[in-house]
Amino acid sequence: MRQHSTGFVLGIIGSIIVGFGIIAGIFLGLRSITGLGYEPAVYQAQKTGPNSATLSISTFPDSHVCHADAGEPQINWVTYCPSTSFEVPPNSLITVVIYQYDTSTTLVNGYFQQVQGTIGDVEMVNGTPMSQVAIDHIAHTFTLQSRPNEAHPLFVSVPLVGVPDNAPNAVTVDGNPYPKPNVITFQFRTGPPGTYIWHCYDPCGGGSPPFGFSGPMSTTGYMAGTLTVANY
Amino acid sequence: MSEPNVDGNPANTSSAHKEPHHLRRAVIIWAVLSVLGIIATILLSPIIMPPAASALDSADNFTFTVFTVLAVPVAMFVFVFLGYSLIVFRTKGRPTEDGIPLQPTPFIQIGWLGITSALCLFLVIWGLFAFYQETAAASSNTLQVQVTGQQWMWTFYYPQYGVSSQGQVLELPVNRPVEFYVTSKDVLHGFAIRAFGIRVDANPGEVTTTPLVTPSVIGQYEVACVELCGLYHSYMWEFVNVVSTDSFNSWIVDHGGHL
Repeated sequence: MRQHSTGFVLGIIGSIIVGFGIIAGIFLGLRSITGLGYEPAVYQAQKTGPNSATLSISTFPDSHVCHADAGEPQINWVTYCPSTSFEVPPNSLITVVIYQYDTSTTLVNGYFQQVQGTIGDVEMVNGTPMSQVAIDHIAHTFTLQSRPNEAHPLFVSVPLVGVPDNAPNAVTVDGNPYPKPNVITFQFRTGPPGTYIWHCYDPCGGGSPPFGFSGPMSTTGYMAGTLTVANY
Repeated sequence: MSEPNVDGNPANTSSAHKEPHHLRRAVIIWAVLSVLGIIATILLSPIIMPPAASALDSADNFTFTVFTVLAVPVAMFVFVFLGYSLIVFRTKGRPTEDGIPLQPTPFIQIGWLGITSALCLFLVIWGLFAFYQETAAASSNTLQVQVTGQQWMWTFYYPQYGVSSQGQVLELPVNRPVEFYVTSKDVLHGFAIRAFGIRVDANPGEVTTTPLVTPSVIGQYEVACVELCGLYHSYMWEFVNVVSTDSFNSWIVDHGGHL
């Protein structure tokens, strides 16, 4: 029987180890991105009249309510809830109600501290009208924008006031404790059917800039999504 | 054995099958296709090129046209001689011997180097001159626009008027020089207005400026991000409205600015 050198045998063993390592790396990489970038189920605004509807949503500091099955680190990501794919009726007055449970993250682009595109260019924060919010009091923004060459451009940008950092937990949502939310209300009008995108422009993704724009800020289903204007 | 002629063909002209003058043929084909290509370039350029809304972009479009005209004969030279050789000198069997070696002459060598050098030198000089034109000094009435890129939207601030744009619109007056100060709040973006012939990177923590550009045609154009920047990169665009001076002043006042 032919005798192999020690180097040859070690090379074979090393190749097997490296091969298993590569396969394991690919497996872990694929496993870690499971659930990223998915399109959540469409959430329709509740019609309140022939040309009006109400979209009631929430923003949470984690994903325990809306992504309960998510693993680490997604379970700790900030998120809109119950979906990020919204549908609203055309040619209607849309009332958006946001229950905002998250604390503030300092806004890095002052442009988004202004309320823009809403009826009267104002939002109601716990019943108080506001046209702009201090950059260090903002938890998220709801910024609706048009896609390229949109025939009926739509632009709405509303800063969402954060709850105080030391606010005690006061409510329970699906068994998860949160502080008393800020209730933010604003209205805008839709035109003909079309598809728009919306996004949060506050660096709420965790960590110091630029990391605040990663994770949930770059993933559909958390801090970005679509708004479809459609008949239903 | 007979000596090869300038075409590399055997010089035995007394054979029954007279070999055509391949070099002359190829040169004629090359000349005809080059002329047609140059004519097509000149005629089609205004149709294919995006409309220019500034002198800077007009110059860019003209440079593209000139460079294409110069490139046509070079490209045709390669394609024609390659194609001619592949078609005319093809053989079904495996060659049993090497081809006849080319016999370089001083005329060909000097001509090849001379034409190539002259062409490259011309392009360099043209490029330097075009670049010099883009570095014109700012005039006294230059409009300054601060551009901020953020996933996935451009926002604009006019420091001379204390006003920001609203929504996805960049408003500019016609026939007034504009200088853009571009930065980013998160990742790398690319600020580009094709109709103006400007494009510059938007880097986090740094401010880069575009060449001075003067919108010359009233109309609606687009600014886009030309650096892949994430999930909704393809949606990172906005309108550019070039309006009259009066309309621009009204727009400034309407948005809370001061003249």
